[in-house]
Amino acid sequence: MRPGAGFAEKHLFPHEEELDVNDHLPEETEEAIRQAVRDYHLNAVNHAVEWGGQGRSSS
Amino acid sequence: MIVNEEVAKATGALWGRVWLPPMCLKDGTREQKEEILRPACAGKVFVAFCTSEPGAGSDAGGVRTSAVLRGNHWVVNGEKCFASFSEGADLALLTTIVDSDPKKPTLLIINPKTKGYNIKRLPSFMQRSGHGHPEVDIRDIKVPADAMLGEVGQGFELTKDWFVEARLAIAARSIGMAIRATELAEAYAAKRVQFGRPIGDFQAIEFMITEMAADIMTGKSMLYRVCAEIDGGLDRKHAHAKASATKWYCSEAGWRVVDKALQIFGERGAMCENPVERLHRDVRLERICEGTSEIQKVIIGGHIRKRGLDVYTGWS
Ligand SMILES: Cc1cc2nc3c(=O)[nH]c(=O)nc-3n(C[C@H](O)[C@H](O)[C@H](O)COP(=O)(O)OP(=O)(O)OC[C@H]3O[C@@H](n4cnc5c(N)ncnc54)[C@H](O)[C@@H]3O)c2cc1C
Repeated sequence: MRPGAGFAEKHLFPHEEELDVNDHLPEETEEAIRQAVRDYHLNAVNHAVEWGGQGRSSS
Repeated sequence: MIVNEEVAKATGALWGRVWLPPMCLKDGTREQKEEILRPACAGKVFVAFCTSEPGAGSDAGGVRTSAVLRGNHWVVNGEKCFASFSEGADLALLTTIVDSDPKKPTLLIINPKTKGYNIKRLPSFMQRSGHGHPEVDIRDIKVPADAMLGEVGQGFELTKDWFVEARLAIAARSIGMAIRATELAEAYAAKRVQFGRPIGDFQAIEFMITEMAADIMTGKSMLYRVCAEIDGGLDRKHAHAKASATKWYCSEAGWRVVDKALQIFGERGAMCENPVERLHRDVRLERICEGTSEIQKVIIGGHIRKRGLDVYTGWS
C-alpha cells in the first residue's frame, strides 16, 4: 500500500469544513490528529530513524 | 513525496499537521539534535522558519535582521513576515546577518516567546489553515551564543538541501490536490444533467477532464523521475536545477487542473462547502511559496546558462 494512503480521507477530511469556517481546530482535535500521524508512522518522514523520524528518503 | 501527495488532498493546509521538521536540523550538533530534532520528530516541538522580511521576499539575500555577539549572547534586531505559525511555535530558525554583513547569513535558534519577539500583526490570508503568517518586530532579543545552527556565514548554505526537499514537496502536494479535484469533477460531470444529458457527455467537459488527466500524468511522471534520480545519487547542483523545474511545472499544472475542476462544477464549484473551492485557494499559494514561479524560471535559466540545456533535455 502507498504510505499515507487513506490517512487524509479518514483523519483530515472530517475536519476540513470546521477549519475553514472557524480558522481554528479545538486542541482535542489537533491532538487526535497528532496521535493518528504517529499511529500511521507518518511523523517526520524526512528525518532519520535515529532521531525519531521515519527514515524515508526526502525525495 | 508519496506521503506529501496523499495528505495534500486535505484542504486548509491540513497536510501541515503531518509534520516535517526543517531538514537543516540534521546539520545541528549532537546536543541540538537531542534537544530539538528528536522532540520535533515526535511532534512535541514545532519549529517555524523565519526568513522573509518586508524587504526580503524573493530576494532572500536582502535579509537585514542583524545579530551581534555581545559576550555569550547574540543581540538580534530586525523585522520578519510570513513566518508560518511562528506565533504558536516552540522554536524558530531565524535567518540573520551577523554584524549587519550580508556575507555572513547565519541561522539562529530562538524561542518566539522570548521578550522582544513582538507579533505586530496577524493578517488574514485566503487559506484558512488555523495557522498565521505574522508580521514580527524583533527588538534586542538575547540569544545564547551557541543557539546557532552551523557556523556564522552558513545560513543560506544550510537551507539549500532543504529547498530541494521543500520544492519537491510542493510539487507533490500540487499533484495530490489536482488528483482530488479531478476525481470530484469527473464524478460530478457524470451525474449533473443539463440539456437532457450528463454534462460529462459534452466534449467541452470531456476535453477538460482529459487535459486535467494529462497534466497530472506529466507532473507526476516528472516528480517521481526526479525523486528517483536524487535517490540514485544525483549531485546537489543538478538536484537543485531539477527541483526548480518540477516545482514550477507541478504547481502551475495543479493550478490549471483545479481551476478547470471548479469550472466543471459551475456555481457549485464556488461554494466554500465544496472541497474544490478550498483546493482552489490552497493550490494558488503553491505558485508563490518557496520561490515564486517567476523565480523558479530565473533559476532554471541560470542552470541552462551555466550547465547547458542538457540538464533538462539530455536524458533517456
Ligand atoms: C503559504 C505561504 C507560506 C509561507 N511561509 C513562509 C515561512 O514559513 N517563512 C518565511 O520566511 N516565508 C514564508 N513565506 C513567504 C515566501 O517565501 C514569499 O512569499 C516568497 O519568497 C515571495 O516573496 P514576496 O511574497 O515578498 O514576493 P516578491 O518577492 O515581492 O515578489 C513579487 C512579484 O515579483 C516577482 N519577482 C520578484 N523578483 C523577480 C525577478 N527577479 N524576476 C521576475 N519576477 C520577480 C515575483 O515572482 C512575484 O510575482 C510563505 C509564503 C506563502 C505564500
